Amino acid sequence: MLIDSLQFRDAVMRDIRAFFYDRNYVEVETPIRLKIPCMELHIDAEPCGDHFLRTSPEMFHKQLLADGHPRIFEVGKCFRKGERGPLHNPEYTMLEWYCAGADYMDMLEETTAMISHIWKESDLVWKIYTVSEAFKEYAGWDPAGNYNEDRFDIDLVEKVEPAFKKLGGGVILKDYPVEAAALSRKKPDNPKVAERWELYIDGIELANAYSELTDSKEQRLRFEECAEQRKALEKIVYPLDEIFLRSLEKMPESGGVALGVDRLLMLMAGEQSLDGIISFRSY
Amino acid sequence: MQSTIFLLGFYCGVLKCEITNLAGDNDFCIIRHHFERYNQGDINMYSASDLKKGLKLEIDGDPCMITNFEFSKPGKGQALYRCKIKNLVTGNTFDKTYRSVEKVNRCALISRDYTFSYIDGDNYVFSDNDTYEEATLNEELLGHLKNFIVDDMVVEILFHDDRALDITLPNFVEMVIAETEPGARGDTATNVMKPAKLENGFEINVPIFINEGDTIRIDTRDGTYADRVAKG
Repeated sequence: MLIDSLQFRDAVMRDIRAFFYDRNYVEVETPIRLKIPCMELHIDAEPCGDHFLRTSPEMFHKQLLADGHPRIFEVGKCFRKGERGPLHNPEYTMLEWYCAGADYMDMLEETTAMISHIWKESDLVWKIYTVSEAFKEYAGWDPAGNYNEDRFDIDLVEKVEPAFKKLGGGVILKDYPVEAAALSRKKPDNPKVAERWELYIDGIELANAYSELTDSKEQRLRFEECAEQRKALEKIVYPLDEIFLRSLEKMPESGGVALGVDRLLMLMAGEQSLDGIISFRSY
Repeated sequence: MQSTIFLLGFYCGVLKCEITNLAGDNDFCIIRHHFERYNQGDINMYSASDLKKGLKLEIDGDPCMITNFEFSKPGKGQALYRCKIKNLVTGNTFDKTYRSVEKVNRCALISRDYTFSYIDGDNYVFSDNDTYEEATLNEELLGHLKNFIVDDMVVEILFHDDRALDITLPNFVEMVIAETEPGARGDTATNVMKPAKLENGFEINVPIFINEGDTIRIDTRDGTYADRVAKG
């Protein structure tokens, strides 16, 4: 590496924090050891004694929103079991922020502003595709209303993401089939899709955002369905987080973004893998 | 069956400590998960998460090797293992993506020691050191190695089922120089080379002090002169 990775990371982190302080965000710290990790089908939490390590700070941030903290951000380590590769590390730095009253497109504006703020020379041009548009163009089918998980995942990595890489620059993939909504709300005028986007730079997925689901009943149903699916895949099934579900009842409409800081640093440094970006990578 | 029950009992005991803080309904799933792991291991299969560069697999009956490997996990989606795979029989390469729930056949490759016996047209015939069973390898498969096979040489042949895939020669072989220009007396420089014909007619570069009738050692891995063993 031509740059000193520690100094580089430090400089970028200062810029990121300055951006959020300037917009009246409060930096928060939330637990890393959890009794109940967020239930997602393909994200597995690392066990830690009688707890788990967090896969994201999402559950706590939503409780803070419900408690009346409208603009919060956190930078910290998250852990995902079994994820290792040029673009994955089982322990990585996540930047996550939430804004009450915002929706996913407001969050997109803020995210691109943040990236321009910290990466001034990037000159990124952002292209926006709905999942339907991108899949019709690059994979020849529309997953909205016609979802097939295996076909969706495989075409995404074999056809759509390589096409984004070829396009280069910034691409937003938005309006995911509702089956892949995770914790986002359905689009009011098209219930086949959910208000979720993923942001790519040079074909590399960098950030995920939602108009957050605030309907506690629907969230409970999604968790229960996810629990069934995890059981069928013989994965550990986490209990329902009743405290989280209760707090959703008071949570204002909000937008939230999770961004992989290591990947952003990698892209800014022009690197191809996280090897030169994460200190002590071999651990 | 008794040992199975014992395992279940044992794991219940251990896991109870881990799960006391979790809601009761889910205990069963967690225990089942750990318990089944002990019964699932099929020794003839790899899980997708075992895949890595260099691993050998059997696909549609052919032995194959992973030449490139990439872990991929789109958004909230499932882990995908994207492989470039080489068919070890045809040499063709192709792309294949495995999902984490998929399993792949292991490739049973066996290597055995054989002794070179004789040449039959384009074929080289070897006999098994233990059973004396014969194995025939085409000279195309041998490539440049065929030039360094000598009488009674012991080689290692790699088989998939009964199909020979690859051969490994000893790293060094001793051969006699059949024909070369006479060397200048007293010139022991090893960096000036001249062509020489071996006993089997194959031509190799040797230092100029080597003479007809000398026995030299050749590195079979790159086919180059290593040193002189005996003067002719």
